[in-house]
Amino acid sequence: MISKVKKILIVATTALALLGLTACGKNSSNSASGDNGKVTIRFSWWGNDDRHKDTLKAIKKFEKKYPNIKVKAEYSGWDGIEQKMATQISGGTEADLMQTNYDWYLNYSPKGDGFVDLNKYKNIIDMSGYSKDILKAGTIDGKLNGIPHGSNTRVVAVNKNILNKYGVKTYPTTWDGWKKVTKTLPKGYYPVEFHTFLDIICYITQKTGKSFLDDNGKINYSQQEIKDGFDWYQDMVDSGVTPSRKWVMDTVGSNSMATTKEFLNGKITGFFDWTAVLNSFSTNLDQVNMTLDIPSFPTTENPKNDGAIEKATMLFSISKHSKHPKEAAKLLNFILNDPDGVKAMGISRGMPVNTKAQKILEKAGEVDATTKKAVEYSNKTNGVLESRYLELSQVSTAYNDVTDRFGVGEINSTQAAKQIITKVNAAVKQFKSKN
Amino acid sequence: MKSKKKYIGLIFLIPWMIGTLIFTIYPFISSLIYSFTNYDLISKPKFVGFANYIEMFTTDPDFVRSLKVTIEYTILTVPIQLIFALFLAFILNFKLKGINFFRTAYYVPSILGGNVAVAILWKFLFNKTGLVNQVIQTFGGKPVGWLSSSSNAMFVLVILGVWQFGSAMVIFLSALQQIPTDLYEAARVDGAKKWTIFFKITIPLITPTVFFNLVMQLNNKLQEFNSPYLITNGGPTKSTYLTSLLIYDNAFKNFRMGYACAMSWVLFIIIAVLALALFKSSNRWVYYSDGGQN
Repeated sequence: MISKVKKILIVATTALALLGLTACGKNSSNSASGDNGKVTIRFSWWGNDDRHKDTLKAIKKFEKKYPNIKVKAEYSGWDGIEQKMATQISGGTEADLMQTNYDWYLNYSPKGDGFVDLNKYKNIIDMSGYSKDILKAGTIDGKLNGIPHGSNTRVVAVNKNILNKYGVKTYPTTWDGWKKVTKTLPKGYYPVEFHTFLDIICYITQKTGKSFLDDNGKINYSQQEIKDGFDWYQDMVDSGVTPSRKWVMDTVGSNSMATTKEFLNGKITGFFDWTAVLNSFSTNLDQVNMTLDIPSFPTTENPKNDGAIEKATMLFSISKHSKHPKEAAKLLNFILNDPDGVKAMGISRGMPVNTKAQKILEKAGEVDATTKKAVEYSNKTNGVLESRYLELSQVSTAYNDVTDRFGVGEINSTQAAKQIITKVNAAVKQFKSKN
Repeated sequence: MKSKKKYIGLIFLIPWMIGTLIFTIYPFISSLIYSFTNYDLISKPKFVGFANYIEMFTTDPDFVRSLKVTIEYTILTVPIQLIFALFLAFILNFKLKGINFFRTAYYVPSILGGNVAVAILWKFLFNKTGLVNQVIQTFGGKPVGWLSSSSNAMFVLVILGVWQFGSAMVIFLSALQQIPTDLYEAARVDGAKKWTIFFKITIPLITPTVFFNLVMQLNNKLQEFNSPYLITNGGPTKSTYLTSLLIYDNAFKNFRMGYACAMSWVLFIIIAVLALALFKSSNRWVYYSDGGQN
């Protein structure tokens, strides 16, 4: 009797164990093609909650319009997305349609054949709202690997209420003007917080009119120009425009600045960041009844241009392993051009660069004040398009490390400039050596 | 009948064996193979011989530096952690009212210790305006920049490492309880002082446990990943850039899986050699009351 019970138990546990093992295998084959002619495609993206909600809404509308296509959404925050993509792409299991970042193409598609060439689907995807320049950001060796959703400009944004409270009614247009603002603000308030080497690049770009890196990852600046950049940054720290690097490390660290106490109580009165992320800052400020404002980009003496660096953001690519690239292209067209899709997607990815979508959104009154200001700012700011190499992991690690060393006082500006050149060059060289 | 029993045992082992094959043996072997290639996760790996191993000791300044930092972290953390664990186990071994509650309470940190949420909590505690600095300020001190100076950042990680003393403590506690009480009684009758009893009876009898805890913690701390990843991200200026974090960054951020595999193997060999050395030395200082026959 007992042995019978034992046997049943053994069979049951073994079956359970095996079931667990087969579960993962079964899943992937199931999602490729569903029952009764229905096609399932996968769509992956990263973002915050508002973006998830809007994108899911757009997917629902799409499924209503194309009842024979089912869309499986895969979404998460930015943290860890790069690792997830790397493992998915190396295993050939990436989603059919995916949101990508502009520097990823260097790794995933160095010769332009890592993703589907979207030029092949021109009859499905309407690209009339995109300028040639914008599509160039997603083109590698003539193959259109991705269509950018938006463009991103480096921006200085400020807390309007705090500045008004201390008597700053019109914003200064020069860096020297911001230095004067520090004298009217109480101690411990910083009008423009710097947190990365990119902010120093903006200054050098203004002075030289050149981007930091060219399309091949070569540094456009001389050592002297970079040294001037670091000296200028030190001047901004000394005059109290920005808190010191040490202060930023201790206070903000690796957190998002939008959620730190010092930002919400106005001590970080202004900051440097990308236009596409301003919404999370303004929503948080709204909750404490304050308003985010965008002054014109501050200038230095004899600027060659406005200095704000630009990059393409959130490109959409179709997997080369996709079994249903046509359906994926239909979904892409729906979220980029179809009025229903565009309205559902809203501005959770910033303002689209697609002029057709812009018109649809404006008509529907979907554009909030901060986004409007950001778009106006981007339109009137004459920036410089940065190279894909700028945010390549090895490269950004190299320049951030040197900036930290300078910030904590380990090295002076001459050494910093020298190290930027040798370390960034070494990183680019190492990256290229494998291809 | 006997052979049937054997067969039943094997069936019970199947889930475990499949798990080990897939999640331990396979990655173990494939990482060794990849360590001799330039595998980048996307294109086909190419054989490069010992190039990865040569690079990490010659042109790459980060690897040797990260090893130094990792060893520094381990040397700082493990002894303090073990002494602290033993101290608490000693106190919790007293027969007091409600001692079981305290035993549980002190064990809780080790359940949470390696947890992501605790690492994030740590980040808030040691923030510029965090709780630690607030306490310092109430006592009239100046706020400390915990995460912007190399030695302070290392200190924050070490404190978190020490705080995960729970599992070592529980093992010490069970060892303390196994010491026969007649030994203590005999010593007391002979007029031995408390400290003498502790160092002459307690410590020798728990050396096997000290040895076990030492090997386990050394192994854990040399592979520490969560706390530098979440609290300092290796900073400031790479002063807390532990080897595991460097391996992770190379594998998944820089797309150098082959190189990362090679570094993991070097780390593995270092840990193996250290463990072996400890085992060799154990003859001299570990005392087994049963004569070490097992």
